[in-house]
Amino acid sequence: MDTRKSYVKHIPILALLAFLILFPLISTNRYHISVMTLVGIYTIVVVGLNLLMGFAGQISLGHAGFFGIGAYCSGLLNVKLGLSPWVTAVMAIIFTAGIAYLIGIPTLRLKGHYLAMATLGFGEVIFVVLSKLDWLTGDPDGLPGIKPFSIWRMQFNSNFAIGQYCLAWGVVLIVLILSLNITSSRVGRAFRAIHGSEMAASGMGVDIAKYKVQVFVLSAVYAAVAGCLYAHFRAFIAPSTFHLQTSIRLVTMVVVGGMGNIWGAVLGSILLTWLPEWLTVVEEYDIMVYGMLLMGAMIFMPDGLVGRLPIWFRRLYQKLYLAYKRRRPDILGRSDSGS
Amino acid sequence: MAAPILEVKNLRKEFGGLVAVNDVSFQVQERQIRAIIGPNGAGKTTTYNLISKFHAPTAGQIFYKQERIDHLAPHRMAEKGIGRTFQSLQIMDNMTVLENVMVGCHCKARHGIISSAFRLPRFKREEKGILERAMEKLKFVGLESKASRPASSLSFGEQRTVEFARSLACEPDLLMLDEPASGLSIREMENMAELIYRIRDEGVTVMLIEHDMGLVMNISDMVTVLNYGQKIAEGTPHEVQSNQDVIAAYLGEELDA
Repeated sequence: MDTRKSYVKHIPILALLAFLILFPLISTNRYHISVMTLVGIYTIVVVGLNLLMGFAGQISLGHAGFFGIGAYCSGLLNVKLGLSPWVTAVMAIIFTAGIAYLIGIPTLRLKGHYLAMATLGFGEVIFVVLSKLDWLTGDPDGLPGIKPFSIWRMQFNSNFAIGQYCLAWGVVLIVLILSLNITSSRVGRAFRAIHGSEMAASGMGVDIAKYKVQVFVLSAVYAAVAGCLYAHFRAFIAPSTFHLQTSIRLVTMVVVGGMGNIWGAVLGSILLTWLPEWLTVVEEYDIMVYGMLLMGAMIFMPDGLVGRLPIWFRRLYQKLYLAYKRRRPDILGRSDSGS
Repeated sequence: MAAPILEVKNLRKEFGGLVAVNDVSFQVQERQIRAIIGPNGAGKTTTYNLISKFHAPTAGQIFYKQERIDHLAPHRMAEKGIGRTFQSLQIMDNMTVLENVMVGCHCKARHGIISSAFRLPRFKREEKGILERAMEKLKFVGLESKASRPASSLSFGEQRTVEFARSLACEPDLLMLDEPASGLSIREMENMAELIYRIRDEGVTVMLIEHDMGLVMNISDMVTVLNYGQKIAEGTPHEVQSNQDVIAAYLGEELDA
């Protein structure tokens, strides 16, 4: 039983891997590959945000801020000082972690709506800093000329879509594995215990303040990793990318995908990144349809895609099975009368 | 008399102008079952919350095994060896029964976020221990067959039992139960009483807030009675039952006594 269990446990990651290998083989359109790369980048942020929201039960409406700090920090260091993107990315991640630590200690004392407001304010401050502090962040319209990641002579620029795709999803897989490991450990249980009952968690010896800050910093680090990938893939970043709308979108991905399940992050990012692409068929009504789909998602699948999909599959299977059973006596009857 | 495991000295707690606990002192001897009773609003749960540090006392001192503990953070209590359950059931209903009990083992392990993320040897060693210990506690309370069920799917009585197993998982020397029998059927209450006896026999000191007098008088060695935040009586169940102040507190005083 034990071996079977560990085998079942690896199915989702193998399925994802198969999908990732097949996708560029089936869809050779370069644009589609680059959308999938963006999905990967969002997935990294959403996994972190899911740890914060779905597991530890906290909320952040300012995660685009951390995404932006990561992107701008790495981009600026690269453009202004000419350091290698690999070096600037590490520096940006450490810097973002520091900011998250300093922000997290006071704000995570707040709960519910107050925490939402505080993180919203943080996101707004970061947006203003990125757009108004032009001596540091360059033109308010954006920062061009960011160098791509490179390994020897291989440059991961926008002409090398498949390379960016592989790099982004490689990072996603690492992030997924690390996060799955965390969630099935003492630390992951502590996160969920804080969500379930802070009083009981504290009574069992969980240092609530410490774990809240830890998960907040971890989610900010993930956002910074995604930000670095974004900046060096696009070669150009603008403050508007890191505004409130992005934060809301990230939270929507967490919720639609399914809170409290790491795989929900993958499904949520895939769906909500592709949705606007599919909605181009309804042209100018796309925002309206987008909004209505989200409302519908919340009403009909409160536990997210990851909670609903298995139920839908089971129902579909049962329906097919019943239909098959209903037809079978019919077939038997006919063959009886025939003989 | 041997040194007490828990000693509370002149404990006082004010909420705004309201004095919830007023100058309460008592000692709990090791391996005793000590009940704390009193009418609603007498300050029993507040006393518990002061001992487990959810509230900071306005005045007074708390000693556990001769060590002063009233300045420690609430999460330190578990590692010191004080476990507790809650009057309003505090089950993590986003987790399975087993995971709930595994949270109880939190203070018995050290591995952090890095060793968890990279599955370092320490993680593997400690997680194995946690799993074994949690299963052992579930067996102790007789819920091992429901280990993998979501905690929210259990009946109220079973959830109380899970909470009990969870509080045992950190191997406490002092277990503070807050109305463990409230909402239980007679059958479940008997089970709970038996569990309390069994952990007492294993050397755990038990403190118990309870409204069910039958249970209290049956199982406790000593009873402390609170009323309006003050200690009004203390003694064996028999002594307390015949105490005039206690009778007055529960039944009301005669108008011109």
